[in-house]
Amino acid sequence: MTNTQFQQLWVCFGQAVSKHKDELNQLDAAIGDADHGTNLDRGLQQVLEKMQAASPATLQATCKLVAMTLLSTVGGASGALWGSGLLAAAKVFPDTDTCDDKTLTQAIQAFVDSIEQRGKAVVGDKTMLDVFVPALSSLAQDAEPITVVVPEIAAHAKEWAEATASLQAKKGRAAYLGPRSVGHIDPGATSSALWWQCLGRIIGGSV
Amino acid sequence: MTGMLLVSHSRKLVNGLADLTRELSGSVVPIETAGGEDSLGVTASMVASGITSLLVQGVDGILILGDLGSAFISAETAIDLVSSPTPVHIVDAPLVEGTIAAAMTLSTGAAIQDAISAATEAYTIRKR
Repeated sequence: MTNTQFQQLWVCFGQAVSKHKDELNQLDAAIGDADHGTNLDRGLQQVLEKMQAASPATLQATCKLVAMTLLSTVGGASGALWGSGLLAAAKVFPDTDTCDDKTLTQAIQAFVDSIEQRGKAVVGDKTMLDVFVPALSSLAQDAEPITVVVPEIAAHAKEWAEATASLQAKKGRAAYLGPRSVGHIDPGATSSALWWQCLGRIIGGSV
Repeated sequence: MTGMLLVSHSRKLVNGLADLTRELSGSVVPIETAGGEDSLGVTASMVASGITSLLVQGVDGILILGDLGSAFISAETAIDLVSSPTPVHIVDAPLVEGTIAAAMTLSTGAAIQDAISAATEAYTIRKR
């Protein structure tokens, strides 16, 4: 992946969250505080502005800039989790313009590890991990080149997010609802699916 | 002296708690609040600023207490951002009772570990 592709990923993600802002807010209204779309959208718009102003030249610099911007602009668990996950990924990304497929997988692995550790959540807790963990395991196991694998993952991401509807929330404010959280799709898993759809388009070359 | 940082989605909530705690513990413990600045919610940067405000007051340790789960995730991330020269402890305690218990303990000159224990034990003290 190149630095340009990585920056395109955030542009795509910003546009996708903006487009689905109301939907994300509505999902969050059912089991949280109704601001996931607004919150993430505000942060990602800042990311795009800062990326344009600073034009970071390496993968590591871009990743760090996105992380720090989300940490200061996105409140709640999502801001801290995306931010600290990306800070962990930035340590894996090289301070150069491009990285190989293995390094990209390792960076996503570092992102997921950091989120698991910080959020103390596991698969099945009805969180963003219910999309990121199956996505990462497909990426790490599949022998095909990522130009094939990532678009396949992207095609499944929405299903993984929708499957959180049958789960009972174990983390975050939704956990206070206990069994009443069942039947609602997790907003964090939904926005995570949008991220993978963007990565699929960029790696697959359709952006 | 150990300082305390109260983190909440609502600044009014922790500002009120800070007032009450100062009143009860004799204002000797430096207390800062973080979160809920422009609107409701907490970011890691807000908590990082709170830690920094205590550090410039020369505290030799910091206790962080918070309201809801994401305040703790933001606090952990903030600790990574600041890299404080003094120990920063995130305390799992009921916010109101734990804050007051910790501040009163610190105000007697007790060690930071005693204040953490006092805050944590507040979970077990029934109100009636």
